[in-house]
Amino acid sequence: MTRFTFAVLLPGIALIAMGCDLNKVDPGGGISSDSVVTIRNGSSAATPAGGDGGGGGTAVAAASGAPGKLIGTIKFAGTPPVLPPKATKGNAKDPAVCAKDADIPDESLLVGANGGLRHVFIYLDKAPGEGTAELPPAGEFDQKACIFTSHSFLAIAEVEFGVKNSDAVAHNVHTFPALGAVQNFGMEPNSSTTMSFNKAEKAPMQIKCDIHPWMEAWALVLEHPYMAATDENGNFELPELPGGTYNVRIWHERGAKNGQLERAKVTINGETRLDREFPAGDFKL
Amino acid sequence: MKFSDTIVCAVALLGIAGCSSNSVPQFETSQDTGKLFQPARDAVESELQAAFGTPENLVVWPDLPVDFGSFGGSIEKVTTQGTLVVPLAGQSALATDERLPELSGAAVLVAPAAGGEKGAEGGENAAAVYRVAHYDPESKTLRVVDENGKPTQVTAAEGDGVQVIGDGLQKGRNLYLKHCMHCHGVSGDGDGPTAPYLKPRPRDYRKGIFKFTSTKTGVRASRDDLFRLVKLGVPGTYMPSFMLLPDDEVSAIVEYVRWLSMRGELESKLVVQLALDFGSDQIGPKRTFADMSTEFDAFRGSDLPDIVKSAGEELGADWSAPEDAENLVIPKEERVASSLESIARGRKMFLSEKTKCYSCHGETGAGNGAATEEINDLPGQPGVKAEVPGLFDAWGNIVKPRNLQRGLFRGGRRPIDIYRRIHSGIKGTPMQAFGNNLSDQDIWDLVNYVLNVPFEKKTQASH
Amino acid sequence: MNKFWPLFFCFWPIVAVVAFWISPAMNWWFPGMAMSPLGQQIDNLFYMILVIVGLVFVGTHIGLGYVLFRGVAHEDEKKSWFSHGSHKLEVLWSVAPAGILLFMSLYQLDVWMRYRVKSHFPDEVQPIAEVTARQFEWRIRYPAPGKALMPTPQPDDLYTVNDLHVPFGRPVMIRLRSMDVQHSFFVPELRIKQDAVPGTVIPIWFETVDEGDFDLTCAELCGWGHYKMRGRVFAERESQFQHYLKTLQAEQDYDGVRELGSTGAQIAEYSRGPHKQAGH
Repeated sequence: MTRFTFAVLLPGIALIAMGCDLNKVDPGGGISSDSVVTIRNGSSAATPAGGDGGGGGTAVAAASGAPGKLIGTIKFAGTPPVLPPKATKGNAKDPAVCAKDADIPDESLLVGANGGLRHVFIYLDKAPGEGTAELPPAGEFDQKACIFTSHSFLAIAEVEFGVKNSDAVAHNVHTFPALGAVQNFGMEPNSSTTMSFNKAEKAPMQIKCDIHPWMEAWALVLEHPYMAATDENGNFELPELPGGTYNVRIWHERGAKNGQLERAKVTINGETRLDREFPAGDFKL
Repeated sequence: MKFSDTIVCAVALLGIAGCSSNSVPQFETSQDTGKLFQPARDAVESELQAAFGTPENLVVWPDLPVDFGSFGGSIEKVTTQGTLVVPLAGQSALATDERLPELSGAAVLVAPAAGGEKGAEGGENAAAVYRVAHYDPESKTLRVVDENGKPTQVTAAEGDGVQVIGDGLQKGRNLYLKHCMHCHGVSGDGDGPTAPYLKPRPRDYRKGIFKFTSTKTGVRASRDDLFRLVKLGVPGTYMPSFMLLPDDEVSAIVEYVRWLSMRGELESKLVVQLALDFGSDQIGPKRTFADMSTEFDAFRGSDLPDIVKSAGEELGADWSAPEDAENLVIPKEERVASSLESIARGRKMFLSEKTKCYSCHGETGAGNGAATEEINDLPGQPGVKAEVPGLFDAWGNIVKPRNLQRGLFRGGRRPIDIYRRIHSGIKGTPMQAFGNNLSDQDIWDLVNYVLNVPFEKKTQASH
Repeated sequence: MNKFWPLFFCFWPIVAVVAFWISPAMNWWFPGMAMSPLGQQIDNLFYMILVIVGLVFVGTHIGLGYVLFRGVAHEDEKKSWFSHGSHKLEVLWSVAPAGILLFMSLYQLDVWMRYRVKSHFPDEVQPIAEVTARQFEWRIRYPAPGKALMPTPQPDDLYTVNDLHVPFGRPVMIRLRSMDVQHSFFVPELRIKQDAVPGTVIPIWFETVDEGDFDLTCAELCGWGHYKMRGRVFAERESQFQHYLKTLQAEQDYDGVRELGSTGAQIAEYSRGPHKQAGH
């Protein structure tokens, strides 16, 4: 080997042998880098892009037109699939109470005789500026025959409502909010208590009972009362709104896109109708 | 010569090239963020960048309830340009007086005293940012420069508040990268290089949920909870004890973990706000990319700053709450002494319809109750059945009810630990809170029973 | 220049002698003085071997240097001659080392027996803790104060991790187990190294001569976190040890309501974070 060979080989081997430890800072963990700290002055880093403040999000357009209610019907287009019951009569856990007299139905897609879809949530994302509707009286959330009633529950953030267990077995109420605090508490047989949700949500949240896995409900928690859930015929009614244009969310637990079937732009001018028919393709089936 | 030299050169080049492998740690965005359409994704990333920075350029957001190891004081005298007389004192466990001479380079916030002409300045937060050029603890003289290290004019008056941001976060970051990152990941997503080989999986901090806490339902983990957990480890999991780390190092790690949790929470809060309107799955014939972009630009200008601001306030409130003694679970009554009677009452309670403990933990406490045999919906995908039976936790993993016979208690084996598990449940799991409907006496009976389960046969045999 | 190699080979025995001489004083061989009587005997065995090996090393090098020196001193260029060896010499240098080895193996039997053979353990030695190695920590179980350690867990047992407290001045025994893979309980200052084997309980005893805290490390590559499997052994006065057990007991019985009393303040520093202490 020539001198040149040695001149190159030796540093090469030396480098490998050193384990390439050329970095001064080595906090360990295989990461060799230092950090600096900068300070965030002020609480909002978002650089306003000079938006018009009008069309964004679900904001309300300029108020015009007469106030009125929003009513309508949500339908399932075509023949709905037949969902098997979640538990058949006499074959559920705790048979003395659960599915004692009837099957426990799968309520995740209930289509009425006229095609009306039940348990669809219709709601405004944001309260209208001068909305005047009073908060509705808080509902009651019940657990009866190992079914949550109702399957679609409406609640106002930070407003207490009653929770009841009408069964002779224990249940638990386990909420799955996206923004608020998770709750998971036990309910002993034939008892009642109160609960509230601490934060308004963007979409309905699931409520489950871990003891009886078929028990499932959906609760929509908002800061304002402009929300409704469809009845067995798919009909709904939103409280009276000031005239103007609103973004209305139509949400169903089986909606294919995060549950949202549509975000409809609705102009209220007196009593206004919002009728929609969604084909099977809009659902996760 | 030519051929052998080529080989030799290749070896040498390899040796040198091998050195460029030092990986730069990076925060990763969550899967949910990835489901937003591109401009929204970029916006979330830039918000996170502004609020938390990167692992190499950490951002201190003073509004967050994180112990950044800061020092504070109010100005006694403004001497010359850039020199202030301020008695600085540590504001937290991570800021001790020994660190005072080492402050050079640290960021300084100078804010007018409360009630001053805050309103006149127009901004809500009119603090000015400088860096420490030098601090002399003897004479309490603080010389500051601007953020780029250039001499600068300081607009400050006597009585103004000075906050010097210490190196608490950096210290936590370095220790985290050394001790925690390989399981919990750089971003705290529980997906470090070792994570795929571990079961149970390392905790993903980004939900802000920790299982074993001393706080009430819905309240985050306290610093003490995390401190204890790091020190003692979690028996029955891969989380080892870090007993030998000095207390201040563990505290620094805890602060960094809290900080990472807040980062993850901010990300998910933003995504929740955006997902319904700006998810990439919402793009279709009815709503084109261009429509969405136009709408998003407006949203970004009008709504997003408010959302970030209120999310920051929520984080502040949520992560301060566990430090409030009111939010701790403290029994009202002393523990009922463990006696055969108490254990029998606990066993009855365990098997009762009132609690239904047995439905998950099994009648003998072996963790094999009927609920573990049920097929549940996949978490986050209601209506989609899992392929295997079992209960799920908030992170989407199958979680087994504890086998009480083994006598391994992940959240601690003190009576108070088990009391708290029963009273307020285990966060992020199907283990529910019984504090509402059980009296202290009932819970203590259950505690006594649970602690006795590993010895049950012996107790029965001897009587 | 011809004398380079003889001088080179004679230089090393000199270095070796100097090194052998000063190394015990400079603490080059061991991590500190052995803190247990048995450890001191083990050190003595080691020094005995060191002397034997040292003498052989020095002797052979002097011989080598001498032969080389003779070779270069003879200017006349004699042809080298090859030998097929001497049977007598072969026998000699086979039997002599064998004899030395036999001597060493017999000489150390006493220490080995006291260290490892149960019937030769000190009479009064009692197990004071069960140490269970697992990836990657040492889980420790003590009996309640005043009770004896039972082979299986008892309701009033006390648990801790990575922090082994023992009294000094009397022999104590540890029951060593492994929960997963093979580990090794290694306390260099006490000269203890014992593998922990899954499925077996291995008793080890030691006596610490003085107060102190010693590193406890894992000496068997047990997985990716092997390096972080570190603990401490605290040797303390009997009264302190009993107090420690009481503290652990108070901590472990803590119900969140009762005052912890005087032991409360001393509850091992891990039970409460510094924040809470600062706050109270």
